[in-house]
Amino acid sequence: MEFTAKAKKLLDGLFPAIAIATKGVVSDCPTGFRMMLQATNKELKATAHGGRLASKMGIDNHNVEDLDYNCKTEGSITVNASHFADAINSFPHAEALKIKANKSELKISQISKTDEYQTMPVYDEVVKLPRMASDFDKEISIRRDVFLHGKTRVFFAVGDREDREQFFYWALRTNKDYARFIAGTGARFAVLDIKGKSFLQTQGKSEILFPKEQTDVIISILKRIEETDIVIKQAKRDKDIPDQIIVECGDIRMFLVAFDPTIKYINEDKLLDAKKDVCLTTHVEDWLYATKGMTATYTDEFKDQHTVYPSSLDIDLKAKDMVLKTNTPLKANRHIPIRKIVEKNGSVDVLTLKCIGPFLAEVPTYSAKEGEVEFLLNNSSEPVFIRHAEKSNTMQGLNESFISFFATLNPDGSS
Amino acid sequence: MVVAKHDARVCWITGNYTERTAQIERVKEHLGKHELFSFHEEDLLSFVLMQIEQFSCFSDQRLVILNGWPEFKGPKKAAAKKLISVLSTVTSDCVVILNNLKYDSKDPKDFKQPLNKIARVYHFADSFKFFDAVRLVSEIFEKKEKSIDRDDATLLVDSITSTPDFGDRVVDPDRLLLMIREKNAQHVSKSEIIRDIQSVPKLKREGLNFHTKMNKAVTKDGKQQFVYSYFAIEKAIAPASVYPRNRLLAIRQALGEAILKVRSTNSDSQAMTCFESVIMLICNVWGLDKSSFLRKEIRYI
Repeated sequence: MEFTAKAKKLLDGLFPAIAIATKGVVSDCPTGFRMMLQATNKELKATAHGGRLASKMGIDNHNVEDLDYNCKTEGSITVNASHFADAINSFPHAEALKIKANKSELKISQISKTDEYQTMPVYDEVVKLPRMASDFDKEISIRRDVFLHGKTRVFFAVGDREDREQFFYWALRTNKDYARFIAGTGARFAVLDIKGKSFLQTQGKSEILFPKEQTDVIISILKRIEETDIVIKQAKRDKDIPDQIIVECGDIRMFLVAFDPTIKYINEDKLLDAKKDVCLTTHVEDWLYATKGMTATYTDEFKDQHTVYPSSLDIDLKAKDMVLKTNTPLKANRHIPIRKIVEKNGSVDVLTLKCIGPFLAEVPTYSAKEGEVEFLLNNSSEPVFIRHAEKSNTMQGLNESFISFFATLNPDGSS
Repeated sequence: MVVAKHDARVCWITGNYTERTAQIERVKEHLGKHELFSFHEEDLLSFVLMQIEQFSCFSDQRLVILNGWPEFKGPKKAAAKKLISVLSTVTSDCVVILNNLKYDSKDPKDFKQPLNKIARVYHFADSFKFFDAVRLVSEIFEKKEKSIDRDDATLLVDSITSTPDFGDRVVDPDRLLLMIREKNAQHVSKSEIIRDIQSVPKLKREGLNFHTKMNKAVTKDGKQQFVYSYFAIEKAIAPASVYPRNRLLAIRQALGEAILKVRSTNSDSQAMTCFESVIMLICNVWGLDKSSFLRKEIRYI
């Protein structure tokens, strides 16, 4: 195998394959960190399979500008993807490179200075893609910018405990003119709803779960593609074909396999649609310094000795005031004025919520800099819902609503 | 011994594995649909306590099981105090099971007494006296409407009895209850076992990675191949009569853990220590507790 191409353009073009081979790789996957290159007269193909995410792509002088690809001898080899990327990156970006391989090694040299070269071993193993399904029971076509925006808004909330596997996934739920992105740990969830015309095509109600570990790789690839839409489809279960989700954008097709298709995500509608007795409206600006004060009490010394950072929120409906308190060795006592109260039965005057402090710190972090933040709740033992302030017109022509909700702590407990 | 409090939200269960597990299953059954949180030695106490105190977003009932003392930077007395304090205020949507949590203290006020006040306590036997075990065998057979005469029950118990340096002969309840279950099952002769194992077909790997398929291997003349020969099985069965079942399970567990550890370390000496611990276990020099270091760090699968 022998071909020539410009260093930087080659690296840019092969980015998806290199990313898939090197990031979010399943440990012990035999093809992890490896990439197969196939040089043909027409194009340079690259195949990578990190155990859960796989892709095959082709680059040529049409889809990568200034690549200057020229195949001298057709052939294919498998190399370590990150060694390959590091070697290519070690040459001046504009330099044309000659890449030549025999059965034992791959040699990358500068065309202008042939005695400047890098070599690396090649592997016998062939990197293969999973067998592609032909029958898909879920198919969603969604605007790429909406998908990237949705993932960015909720991904911070995704779970991190291995014993709660369903929360290692985040979900995209769709219906006509409507998409919901949801992620959570089991104790705290972030939900983004987007509504509007012409940003989505879906066959009725649909849900696709994305595994946490591979999400950043998929997103990093999708960010670099200049296409309007993404097509996501999930194959119908078939004993002869691996369970798979396919993400297509432009010329790139990514396969998500080896996930657990039997995992059922939570049904949050029951909670979101339930009546809430109290709705308090606050201003996001009032949360900024109050939560900074709370966070200031979680000192490094405190963090060294604790994994849980509790706080309490004393709500006085009559005085239209909330007090955010912490009781670590350092103490915080910060007021947040309540601007408006809507109360269903009027039986509550004061209420103390005990909760994980960082959940409250997310109010200013994930809200717009200005605007109203609504607190919806029933009592101190049921989940608290926060409707965050939104920037106006973030996604042109679409309406979005961002809600987070979390479980509270026992008010009589010792935390 | 069982101390029952009908409104208790905490269960303290100690003693032999079989009866503890059965009791936990009964609690689960009683709770119906619930969200389960299970913690071990590697979890941090503060995190575990937070989980006990945190209401659920979705479920009406939570079951929190502590399978060991969670990690705590400080004296055990302080850990026990914190745990008792949280257990005293467990809410009505939560049940906490302390599964074989032991606390050695001369002062019962540290743990035992306060726990007895707030928990349903189930102390199952760690060992049976010989004649109690014989009686138990007869009772269990009777409950299952099967008969065993006293001589056979005595013989069965005698086969797993150990004699401490001082005192009466004692019987390990887990071994006894396991054996009763086996004896109740269909009797299978050694020759039948060998015949079954001999019929396991040899498989041939075809394809790579996710395309791998395992097909039955055949000889050149088309005859099916099998994994084990008669002699190999005969040889392999021998240790079964040398090691008691729990020992074999312990060796199997240690092997699995050692492999994980060896694969995840770059240190030759750590790998050698892992191998050594397995060999010590096989040679009956160590118990499973001595090889517990194998499972203390991060697992990779």
